[in-house]
Amino acid sequence: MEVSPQMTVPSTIEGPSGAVGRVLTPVTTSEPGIDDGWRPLDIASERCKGCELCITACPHHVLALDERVVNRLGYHPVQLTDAAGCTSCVICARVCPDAVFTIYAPRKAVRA
Amino acid sequence: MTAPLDRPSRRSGRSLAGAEPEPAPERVLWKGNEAIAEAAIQAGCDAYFGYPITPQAELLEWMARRMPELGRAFVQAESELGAINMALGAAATGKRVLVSSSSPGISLMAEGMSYMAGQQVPMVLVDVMRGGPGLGSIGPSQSDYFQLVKGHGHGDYRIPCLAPASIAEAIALTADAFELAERYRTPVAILADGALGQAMEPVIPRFRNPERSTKDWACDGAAGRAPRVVKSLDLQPENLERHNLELQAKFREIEANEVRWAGESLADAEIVIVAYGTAARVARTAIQRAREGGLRAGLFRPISLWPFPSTALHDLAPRVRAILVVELSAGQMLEDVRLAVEGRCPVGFHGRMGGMVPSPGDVVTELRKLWAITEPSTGGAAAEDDAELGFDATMAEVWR
Amino acid sequence: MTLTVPATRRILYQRPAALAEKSTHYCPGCGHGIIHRLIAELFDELELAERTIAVAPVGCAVFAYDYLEVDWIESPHGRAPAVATGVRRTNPDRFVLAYQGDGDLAAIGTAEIVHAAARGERFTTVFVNNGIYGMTGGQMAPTTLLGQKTTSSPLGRDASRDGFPIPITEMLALLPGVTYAARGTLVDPSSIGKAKAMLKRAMQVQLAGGGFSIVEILSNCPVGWGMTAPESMAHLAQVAKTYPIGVLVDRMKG
Repeated sequence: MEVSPQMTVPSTIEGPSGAVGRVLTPVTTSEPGIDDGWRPLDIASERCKGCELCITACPHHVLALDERVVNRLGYHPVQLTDAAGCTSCVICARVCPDAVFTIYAPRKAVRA
Repeated sequence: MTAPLDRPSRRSGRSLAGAEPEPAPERVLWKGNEAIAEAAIQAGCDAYFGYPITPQAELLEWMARRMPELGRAFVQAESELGAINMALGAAATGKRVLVSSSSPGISLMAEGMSYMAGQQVPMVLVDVMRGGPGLGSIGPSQSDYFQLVKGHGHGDYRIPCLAPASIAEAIALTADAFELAERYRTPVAILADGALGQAMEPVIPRFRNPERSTKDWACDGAAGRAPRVVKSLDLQPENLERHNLELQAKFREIEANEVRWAGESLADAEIVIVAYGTAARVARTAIQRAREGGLRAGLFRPISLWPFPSTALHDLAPRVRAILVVELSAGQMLEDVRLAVEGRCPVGFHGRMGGMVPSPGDVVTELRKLWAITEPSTGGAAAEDDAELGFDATMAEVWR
Repeated sequence: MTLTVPATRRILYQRPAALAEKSTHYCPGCGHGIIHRLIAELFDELELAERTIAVAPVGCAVFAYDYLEVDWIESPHGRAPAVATGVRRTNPDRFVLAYQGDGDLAAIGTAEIVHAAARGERFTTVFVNNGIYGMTGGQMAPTTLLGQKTTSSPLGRDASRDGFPIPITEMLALLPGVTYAARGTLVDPSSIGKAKAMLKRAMQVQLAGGGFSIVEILSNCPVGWGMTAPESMAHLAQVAKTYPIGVLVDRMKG
């Protein structure tokens, strides 16, 4: 997956014990042959607690825990497994107790 | 039964209509409870919360009529628990708040007082003390001394406690209480009793509206500034200890600057009565009678029960033959007197409970008994005259 | 926090500004997080943050003041309605919000909530009902269901010993001073949206000068209930059989 520099979110996050985290480089996606940096969502992985409410709620089943990663809070954060399958329905953001999601308009809507 | 709205204006003889506080007339006959209420109003009290309880219901009733007249907040809460928490809320937004109650209701307020002390929120609480423990009686008492003077609720804190001995003094101390509360960001208690609350005395009311302190901490809506939190919780022991040390430093400052007491006939006194409030008024009469009988008695009257005038009492003790503490209780201030005196002279006690008030005759008898069993002091005369006996504003380290 | 968003990208959803950008102490999947977020979204949408004075409970949400960026006053356990009354009576032009759990509101604070409601106090109460005392380790609450096992009802709530669950919002809705009372749930995304609509209506009732407004939200406690977060959310369907979802009263409607 390509990582575009303009996608890095310049913020620090404070946990309850004052721990400072930096948002992980967000997930990006690009359709084959088109690289304009679009992606359906960002995840503030450092604040995700791996509760899996979004995974259960996602109607397209494109979210899963990233078991390769343990974040600063000690959880496997959620990740987008199939960007093309995400329709930006915002359901994951609606159920998330930690407000980790930023959702972007789908490509089709943007192009029109 | 006459409608409550009619009684106050007939008794006090002054017009109470109108939206703005009026200048007080020369001399009025006033009931203690109502005088304290009006003193608070004249001191700029923004809100009153209370619950009916004898012997202070007139204070609530006065507020029920006057506060809405002035467009200020009045709520008769569902309980004293409700009242003290309404006060917490209003005070945390920076408003000047009064709550009044009597002993059983004061017990209910201990939780709220602890929170306000921890949150450093200013307010004034009037306790018109009655007989206890439990439901007790509605007669006057001084048996809430432990409760209020030692802090009231849980935790390491104190609140300034002021004890008027007359209605005129109660009026003055009410304004002082608001000022103290805001200067030090603390609840302040006024300890009256059923006799003072119910009595009527001619007074020249000297009202005062103290200047308001800058409210750089109040939660009044975060427009154009960072949000604020008024709280007492900190789960990190290091942080909470730091907070407590700050509170303690504040208490030391109050002890250094806010001690109040008054003396009468102390300069040549051989035996001294220590008493406050209604007990002090009885003591004053007893001292006059004792002196007529040749016994040189004097009165040491604490006005601030906390900070207690320990240094002045400590200095006085070696110069007198004995001290007699007189209270409407089993002896609560007695313990603070003994601590202050530190064995430098004998300390005796006379008290009545349950709503009974000591009589001057009984107090004179006790003075004579104490005289009979004690030796003359060797500490020298107290002073040339009373004027020499000011109060020492500096609290000695020995009291820590 | 600022996102650099190229012109081709439009944000459909992002963390509301009124929600502090910090990790919360709430357990993974806890409904408090969702409810805080809904309130923050409404603070942004209705531009309330700078006018709000909020009252925090004792319970898991005792730290609410760390997460919603408004003025907060800590309240003793159960006393939030009285504290909010004091705030409202002396600050007529502010927006006043009280946030309470089931122990805070329906146990120790029962008198305070009933009388604030009876007086028609113009503030909005968010009542988070998860049928358990989370903060203190999962004890029985007044709203715990019959048969539900908690650390103080280890064999399950038994009516003969522990009494029946209290439908407190139904009781409050009887009072004329209550302008709006509703119960929502977090059981699924659609319900979360409806719960947000209830919160919005309650806030609008206050802004329009109505009386007391309360939104009870059925929420979860994965750790206390001994379930995973998704299981606990699904369980809310069962909970709703004891506490029906919907608007109980809207005396300002029409």
